[in-house]
Amino acid sequence: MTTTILNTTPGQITRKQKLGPASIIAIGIILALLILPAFVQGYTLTSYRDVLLFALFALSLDLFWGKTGILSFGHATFFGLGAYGMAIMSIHFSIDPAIVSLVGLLAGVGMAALVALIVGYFILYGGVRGAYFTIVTLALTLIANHVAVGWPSVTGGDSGLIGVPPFSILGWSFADPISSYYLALIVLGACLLSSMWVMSGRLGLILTAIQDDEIKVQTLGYKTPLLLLMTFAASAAMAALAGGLYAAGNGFVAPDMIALLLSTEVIIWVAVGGSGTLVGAVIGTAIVWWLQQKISSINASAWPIVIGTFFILLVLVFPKGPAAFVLDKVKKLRRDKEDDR
Amino acid sequence: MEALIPFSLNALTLISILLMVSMGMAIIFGLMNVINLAHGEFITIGAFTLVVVQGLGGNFWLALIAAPIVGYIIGLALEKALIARIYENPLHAILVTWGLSLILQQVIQLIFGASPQSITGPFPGSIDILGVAYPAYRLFLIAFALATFAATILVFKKTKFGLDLRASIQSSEMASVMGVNPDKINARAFASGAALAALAGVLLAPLTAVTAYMGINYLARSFFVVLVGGAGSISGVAAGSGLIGSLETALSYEIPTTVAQALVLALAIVILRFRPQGILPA
Amino acid sequence: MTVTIPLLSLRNVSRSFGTFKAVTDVSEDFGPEELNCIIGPNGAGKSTLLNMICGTLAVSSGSIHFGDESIGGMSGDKIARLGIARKFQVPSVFPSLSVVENFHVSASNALSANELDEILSTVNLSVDRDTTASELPHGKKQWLEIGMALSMQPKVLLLDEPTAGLSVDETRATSEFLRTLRGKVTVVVIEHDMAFVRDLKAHTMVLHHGKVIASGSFEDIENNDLVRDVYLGRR
Ligand SMILES: Nc1ncnc2c1ncn2[C@@H]1O[C@H](COP(=O)(O)OP(=O)(O)OP(=O)(O)O)[C@@H](O)[C@H]1O
Ligand SMILES: [Mg+2]
Repeated sequence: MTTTILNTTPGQITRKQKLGPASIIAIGIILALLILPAFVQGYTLTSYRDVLLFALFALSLDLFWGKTGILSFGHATFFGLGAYGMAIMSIHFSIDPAIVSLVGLLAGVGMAALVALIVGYFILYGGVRGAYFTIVTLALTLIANHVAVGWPSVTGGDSGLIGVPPFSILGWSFADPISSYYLALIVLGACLLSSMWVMSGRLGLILTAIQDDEIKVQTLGYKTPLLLLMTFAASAAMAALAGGLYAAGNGFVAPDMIALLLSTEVIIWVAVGGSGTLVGAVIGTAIVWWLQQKISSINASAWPIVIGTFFILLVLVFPKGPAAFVLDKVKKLRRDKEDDR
Repeated sequence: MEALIPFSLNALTLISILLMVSMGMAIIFGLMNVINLAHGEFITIGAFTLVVVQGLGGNFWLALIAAPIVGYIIGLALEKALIARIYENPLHAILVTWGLSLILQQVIQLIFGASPQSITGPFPGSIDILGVAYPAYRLFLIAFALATFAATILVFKKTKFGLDLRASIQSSEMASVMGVNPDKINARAFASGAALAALAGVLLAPLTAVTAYMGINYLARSFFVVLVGGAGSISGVAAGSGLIGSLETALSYEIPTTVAQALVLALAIVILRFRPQGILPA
Repeated sequence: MTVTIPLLSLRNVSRSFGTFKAVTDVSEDFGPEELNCIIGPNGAGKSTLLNMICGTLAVSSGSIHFGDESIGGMSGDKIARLGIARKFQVPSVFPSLSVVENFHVSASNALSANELDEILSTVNLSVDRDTTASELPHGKKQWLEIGMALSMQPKVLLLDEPTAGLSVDETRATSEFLRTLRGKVTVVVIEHDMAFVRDLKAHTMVLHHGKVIASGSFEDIENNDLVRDVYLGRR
């Protein structure tokens, strides 16, 4: 039964919305981003590229957290594994330059998926859900960070590794800002649209059902731990993809790419966009990045305080996410107006 | 045989440290079931109480008394303002306490600066134990941790507060019927956990770099001490500290400390897979 | 229907919670030729027994066979894939999904539009197809869950109090519907409503304090003194 979950053709299952608002927004965003290089060049474009990769990272978290309701507090582990995989492969091994980027990316993505499978197996098959999962993944980032800092011969320790070559494949190089921007955009677009497509099908329904009542889903014949584990591994692999491309784009890795603060920030990116919407993760990342630019230019050390305050507000003021909060307010305003008439 | 004595003493020191930092966690997380990611910052607050007290000319012993009071008051205030609203929802607890943790770290760093604080602990010399000279302060730490542990157990097993707390954890309705106000009990329990963490901070300060971020090192470990030991039982903390502390000490002889810590955490995850209720469940 | 349905047979099945024995030494065969009912007072162990058959609870001792397959202690999802479907006592539907989406999750194969319409009309939910399950009234939740179980194309249908909270008409409809399943699906129903059980003419098993105190046709059961004492006599 599990094998038929993914390959249901659109004719067989009435997808929730054939082309709902979320997909229209997603396609609109991708189209707008396609023409962005006509207006922005050089260094600015590379920082937009980094935002796209962070958005991919946020998307990876939303794929798991948003769809299963289980919060991973350790997603920077996978982003970092992708980045370090890329860096270590291209710096410590003499691999044919034609394929080194590909090998590095595969190594990072493979490592991340493997770690997610092993850790996920231990906790998801052990029946651990919810808050305990969050603590274990939090510890995972700490462990990964300890290793990144404490094993200098491989990871470069505190200072990290410099000299990661730009992404290239069989002689095609993505070294200049425009091509590396488009590389990031294509990967993000492909991941976003395919995640939205898969999640609008039966798998998305089953994951929602698991959030409602996991035991019931089991008595319907599904191996729920397996489904959760696979979603977790896919999410980890996507995070590593973002990390690997980020390392290649910026030419270095450092321990803060595999640290708790990054794990925290990505939660905010997703929460700002509204978790579970997938496209919201991309929008949230852009909004928070823009805010961070503004605030950091005033006072750099204020940023963690802003994040901390946001977490508290998130729970106490807008538990459904800021987007839903605004929508509710707008709806209420409209209703009040109608009542007045 | 010669090597065994410093090894055991090192292990005992680490076990005592873990015991100290985890007792507050055992109350707040183990008994009250609140995931408090700001636990490390209560430890930091304790250490910085020592910094302030010594800055004002006071000594270590004064700080040892002041820190739990400061921790209790801050804990009480935070419980009333924030924590009381998130008992029902673990995800909310995680987000709020993590936000709190980030804010506390940054505020401490803004006030005191980023570089490690200089403090002086008592008992600078060493003591001869079976022919091995061992720092006197560490021996004091071991003794103090054991005494605090025994006292905490007594409070929770024997006093009215301990009984009320356990009653209100079992069923807040029952507790109300018995004339116990669960809100008050929760607030006092959370504050006691914060006070114990702050006390641990003072004791740790002479052994470690005192910075705004020092607490985070103990967050995951104290969670695992409680989980491995068995959430819901204060005595489980001793079992958890014993296991994690001695493993980490043993491994540190062979591999870098940070990697040893990582390995022990990984091992703790495996232990939980096979014994989800911990070694000494309630 | 040429599918032969294996016998569901329980041998000395027991389950304890701590020192408390909720089910003790139950041995019984359930086949498709007749409808099967389990009756018994509150706390008799009826739901516990179904939980063991469908794998949500492990058996403490004894064995459960479905044909040649030993399913006692098998995981719930595997048992479900053998064709054993379950309706829980508390209606367990997915509250955040719509009726149609609930069926998409429960169906063993992707549903065609026709199959979907057929199930919807079987359980009388055609007009509610896009309603979110949390907004359905209790009776319709019961039917939704029965429909979900049917959409698995089960060989065995375990129903825990399917008529609880239903109106007289709805109860009669349920009884009529169950009778159409005779011979095609092995049906095991837990019921409190004696009129309903009589109406079904089911093979009936009486549980009391976790033990089978009688088993046979409903007439036999009604005339059994022990059963009268502990259960029917109370009417
Ligand atoms: N998970 C459990 N842990 C402990 N005791 C349980 C558990 N599940 C059921 N019991 C006990 O086992 C006994 C049988 O319960 P069960 O739910 O099987 O009864 P039932 O016959 O279905 O009753 P009802 O008609 O009320 O549904 C009850 O005394 C119940 O309290
Ligand atoms: Mg029951």
